[in-house]
Amino acid sequence: MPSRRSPVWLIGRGIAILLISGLAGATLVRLAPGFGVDERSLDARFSAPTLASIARANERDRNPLTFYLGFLKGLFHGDLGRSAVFGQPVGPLIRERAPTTIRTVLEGLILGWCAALVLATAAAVSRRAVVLAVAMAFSGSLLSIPSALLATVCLLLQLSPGTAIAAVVFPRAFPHAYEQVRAALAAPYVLMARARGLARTRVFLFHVIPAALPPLVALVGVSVTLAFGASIPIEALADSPGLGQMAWRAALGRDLPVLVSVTLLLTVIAVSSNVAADLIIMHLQRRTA
Amino acid sequence: MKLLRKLAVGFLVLVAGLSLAAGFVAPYDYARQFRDHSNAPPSHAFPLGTDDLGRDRLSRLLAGSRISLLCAPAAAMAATAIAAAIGMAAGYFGGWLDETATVLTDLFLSLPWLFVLLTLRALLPLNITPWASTAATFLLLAAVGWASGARVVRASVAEMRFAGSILHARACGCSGARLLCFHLLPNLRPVLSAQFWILVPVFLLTEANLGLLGLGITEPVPSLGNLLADLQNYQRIQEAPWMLTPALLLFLIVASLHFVVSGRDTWE
Repeated sequence: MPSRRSPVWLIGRGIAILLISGLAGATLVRLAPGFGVDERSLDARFSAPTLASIARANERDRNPLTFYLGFLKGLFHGDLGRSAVFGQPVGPLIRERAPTTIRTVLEGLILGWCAALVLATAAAVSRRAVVLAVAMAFSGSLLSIPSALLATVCLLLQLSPGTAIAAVVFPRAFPHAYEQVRAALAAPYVLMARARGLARTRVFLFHVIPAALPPLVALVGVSVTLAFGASIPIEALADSPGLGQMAWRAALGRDLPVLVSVTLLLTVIAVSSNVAADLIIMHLQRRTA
Repeated sequence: MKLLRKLAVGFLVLVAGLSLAAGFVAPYDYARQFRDHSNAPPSHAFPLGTDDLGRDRLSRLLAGSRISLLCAPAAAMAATAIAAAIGMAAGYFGGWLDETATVLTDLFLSLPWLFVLLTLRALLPLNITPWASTAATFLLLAAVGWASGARVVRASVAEMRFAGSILHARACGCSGARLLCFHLLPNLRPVLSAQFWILVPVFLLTEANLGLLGLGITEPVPSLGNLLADLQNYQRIQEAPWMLTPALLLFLIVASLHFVVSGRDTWE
């Protein structure tokens, strides 16, 4: 059996989580009120044998496991069902809207993390209580505002939806980044390097950053899930044609094929980013060791 | 900082008191409509103005904060109880139970919360009553929000099970259930209390997000979340800035909670 820290274990666990979440999603669709009710059954033009055949076809999906296997089969063939709200197959809808969300989320992640790292480094290096207090107050204030409200503020200030996502990511990243940089700066080997007369920039780039990096990489993995979650209210309010807005409209119209497919897709992204973060940390730790 | 924390506690006590006494303090019933005064600006009769349907904003704000301030802690309590049950079982018994709980926890931590909540919310029947939607919204929050707490509890129990007092209790013939309830659970109080206080602001903010999207508690029952739904027409904010009052109150409540939670250890 592979060890819990081996890449095989991490990837296997990721795949198991995806299969379980897929089963959960399919079971939810199966248990939804109105599942198996076909609008064709109300159409007077269909004969009794046709209606019986439709009922038999729906009956096959009564078992959640059979339904899930059918769902997986469809998934492998790119058939994710048909959206009732948008009147289109779900696959092309996702393909059309995913780039907008990925662009917005990437913009937000880069902006949020850069701001957090710059401010954390400034606060840790300067060691001034005022700088830390201002940074903490700013981060704490952003943490107390719902992402939908941040989106409204960004709209009023005519900022991009990516900025709103950055405002969601920043307060989660900043305290951890500050703690890691501060701890690395106070490490004995850093003090030793400074005492030996190494340039500050060199100490920071080659001694502080490598020590602070692994925990922050893990947090980047988590912040991807956070950023995609925040994309719903932000895209809905900013009228940005991405997956978040699509999920919101699907939820209002009870369009379950869209909701389950989008949630599954985002779970794939979240699990993959977490597994990638774990693998990067393992690689970094091996190099440090 | 101590003064700020005291101010935060004072503010929370004041808001909790006012919202609990909403029935006596509020000028009108939260659902009463004044059809001749829809979208009225603040006045002596309506201190925070009225909404599109002519309902007094102050009365709705007081009633809404009561619902949010009662339901969010209740949901946090439920999530903490689920986290305690799963984390204790996984940490104490280990083996396949621990493996299953770990995969389940990882699954819930990997899921994008808001997407899951939207999916679950869309599964509810259309003819759900406002009070049922209130219960459903907060129960869904509890059902989704237990995972991080379970991980912390599991780690604490796994460490604690080999503590001297626990080994002594086991040697004295204490059974598994008794050991969990009377020996491990009291020792977990600080961990569970921390998890509870972390979840309260998180649930308040998530309910606000759902409410602003029109997927939280249904009308006419107000909550801090669905009172923010007016902000979907953000173009109106400049001409009616009093629309921002629920947002400001929510911000102050959550910021005060963060202050109180961060200072709790110092107080204890």
